Amino acid sequence: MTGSEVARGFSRAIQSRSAGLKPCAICVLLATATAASLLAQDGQWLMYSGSYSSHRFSPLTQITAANVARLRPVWVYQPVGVGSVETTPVVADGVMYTTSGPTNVAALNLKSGKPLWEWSRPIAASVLNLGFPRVNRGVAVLDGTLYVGTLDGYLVALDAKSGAERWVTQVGENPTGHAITAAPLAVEGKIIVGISGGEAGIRGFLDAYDAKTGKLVWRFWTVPSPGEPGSESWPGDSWVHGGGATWLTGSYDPELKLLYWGTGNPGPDWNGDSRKGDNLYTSSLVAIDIDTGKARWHFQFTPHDTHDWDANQIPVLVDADVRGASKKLVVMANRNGFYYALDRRTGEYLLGVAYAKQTWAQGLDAKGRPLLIPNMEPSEKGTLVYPSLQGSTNWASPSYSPSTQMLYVPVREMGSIYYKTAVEYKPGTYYTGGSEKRLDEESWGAVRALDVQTGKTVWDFKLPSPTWAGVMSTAGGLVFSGSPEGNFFALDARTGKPLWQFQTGGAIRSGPMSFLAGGKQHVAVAGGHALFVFALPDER
Amino acid sequence: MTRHLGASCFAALLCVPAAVSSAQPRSLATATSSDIGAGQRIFDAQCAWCHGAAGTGGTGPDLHRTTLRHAANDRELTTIVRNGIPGTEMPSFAIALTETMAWQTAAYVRSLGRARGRSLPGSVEHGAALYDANGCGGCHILRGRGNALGPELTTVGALRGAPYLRDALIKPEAAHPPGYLVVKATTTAGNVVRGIRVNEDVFYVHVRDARGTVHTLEKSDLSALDRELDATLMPSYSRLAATDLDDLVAYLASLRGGR
Repeated sequence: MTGSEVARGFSRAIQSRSAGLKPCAICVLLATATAASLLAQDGQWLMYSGSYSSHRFSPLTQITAANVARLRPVWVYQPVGVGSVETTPVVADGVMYTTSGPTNVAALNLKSGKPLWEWSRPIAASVLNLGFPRVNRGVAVLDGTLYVGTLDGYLVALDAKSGAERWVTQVGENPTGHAITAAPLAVEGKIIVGISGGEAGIRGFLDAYDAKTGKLVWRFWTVPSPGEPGSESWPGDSWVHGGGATWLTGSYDPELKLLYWGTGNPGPDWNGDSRKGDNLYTSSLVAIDIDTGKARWHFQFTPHDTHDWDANQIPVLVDADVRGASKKLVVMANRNGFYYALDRRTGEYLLGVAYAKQTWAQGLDAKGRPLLIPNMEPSEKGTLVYPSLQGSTNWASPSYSPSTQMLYVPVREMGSIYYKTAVEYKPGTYYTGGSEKRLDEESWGAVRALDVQTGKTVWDFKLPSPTWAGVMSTAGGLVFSGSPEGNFFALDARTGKPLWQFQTGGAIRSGPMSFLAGGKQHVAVAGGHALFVFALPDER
Repeated sequence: MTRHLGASCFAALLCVPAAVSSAQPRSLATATSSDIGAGQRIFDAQCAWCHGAAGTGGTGPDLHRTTLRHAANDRELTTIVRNGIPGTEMPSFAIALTETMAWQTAAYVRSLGRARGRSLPGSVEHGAALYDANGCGGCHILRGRGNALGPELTTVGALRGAPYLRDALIKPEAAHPPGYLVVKATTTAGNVVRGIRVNEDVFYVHVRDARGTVHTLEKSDLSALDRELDATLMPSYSRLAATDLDDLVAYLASLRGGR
């Protein structure tokens, strides 16, 4: 089966109310796909990262290095509400579904940019967002239904045609700091959704809900309870508020039937005195069986993290050679400054190398565990460490191009002075035990191309400040990304040479995506409080 | 500019409009010496960076005052310690400090206000004359008059502490404020433009030179763009007599926006 067949199947399934397909049809289609990244081939963009492999790679080829200089905006959508728009829209069956904060969804006509419907969940000012802005980063789509997480901790299913609510289910309690900003992931009839609250002392989990009913299918706790494997890494009752939020979207391998999901920092963030030990499975990648919700393996990047270097970055599934052997990899440019390649079947550590300035580890040992440099913990008087609390990269998506075999990483080059303070748990308040003072003026950013097989930098496109913009690569040989200063730009995927830019007028804190409308390739990105859509001018 | 944004956004991923408990905080007057001691330790670690050791002022104001501009009462003071002052360089500490810690820190700040502040040596009147005689208005705006190459000084005495003002006069390169980063742009043709970075994005940089002219430079036309992190366009006034420096500092410290 080709990718486009898969995609058409998926597309039909989305309309199955009229077409009569059942959700299991999608399961079959997806399970038999050899490369889920091909789902976007018919010009749709069906999930947050573009594909289950999370390549954020568009197979569309109309926009190239030769013509991108002519790219121009065709419409702009300004959603209700205020604040930065941090979403990645999806495009399914000729409609764009986009979101804005705190919890708004809109269905947009691809040609006019006008809303077909808009849905908002009332979010009171008292709804907590401890440690992150009041944003929403996107929807999942399956079987004619959209799925959106809400800032107040619910998962809502919306009819894709009308925006009508089909069901609402509570995922976490907001008064204790639980919230949802991440896009859910639709997998085999289930909606997988993560939770935010790692600065509020939550105990993290990842949930799977039945897409039809909203009923909980399984819950994976990222912090084990006493007696469970990993619990020995938590003294006393420290596990109860152990953190490990799952606040970004993960990836999925339909052949292995494994979900790959990054987990957040342990709590309290910067004062680890009460939680001596590795604090499993925080700051880790866990591979979870889609049917059972049980972890098949885990890999912890930062044991006993005290710098808020969570591992929620997007895990990217890549098939490539490492040290001469062909491997099914999951790779991650981690917030802690190291790039990792793991065997995604077993979790075996294969490769790790620093890709940005870091001053806390001499390197990684043979199993990928960091070799710590002494006295780099936060302290009462302050400790200067690179990277900053926001990390060498953060939630902004990387992109992998199968054409170049490069991973394009949004990089933040910045140090911080880390402070440690006393901490007490009080429901619905910060449970962090410290702070940072950032070295803003000397900081900078980059879109950095890493050789996926070695982690070595191939090229570096420098930005004036640390970036929050995601990256998309395309089969047209381009890399799109943005800057906090509002630039949206295209680079040559092989060299990093800039080829085009547009000033959106607002910080870009979103991920670019691409789709076909009327047979033409379009590119979309949110900048400031607006969503911009670009295309080449019509031939005359 | 990035620097301004950075200064007003604190910690993590966020500019959080942090909530403060609706519970009525205890009067700061009820703080024990133990509370105040705890507040001092927090202050030394978290606040002295800007407000100076013992709160004598730095890039942030001197806190040895019985009345604080933004904190008319105990509740407001505790709220400011925890949530900062939006639109100013005072950041939020909501992530770092619990309500109790913020209250203890506020109690320490209140104790500073009760302590007698050091009165500044120097003559405000003579400082004003020195300000004019040295042509400070050539680069600074004061009550609507002057030029805008450097920061406006109309309220500088309320924003900055005297030690910082003195440093800014003697070794200004160590004390340039947010938003006044010096950059040196070299064009591919070999021309050099040096000045204050007004604005920068990925493809353009705007530089205000010492004459006040703003240059719009396209980065593709530059062979180098250097950030001079320790540089300033402000000349040093270390040549002034010690008593004149005292007078000038006293004058600047008196500029609190009053009419």
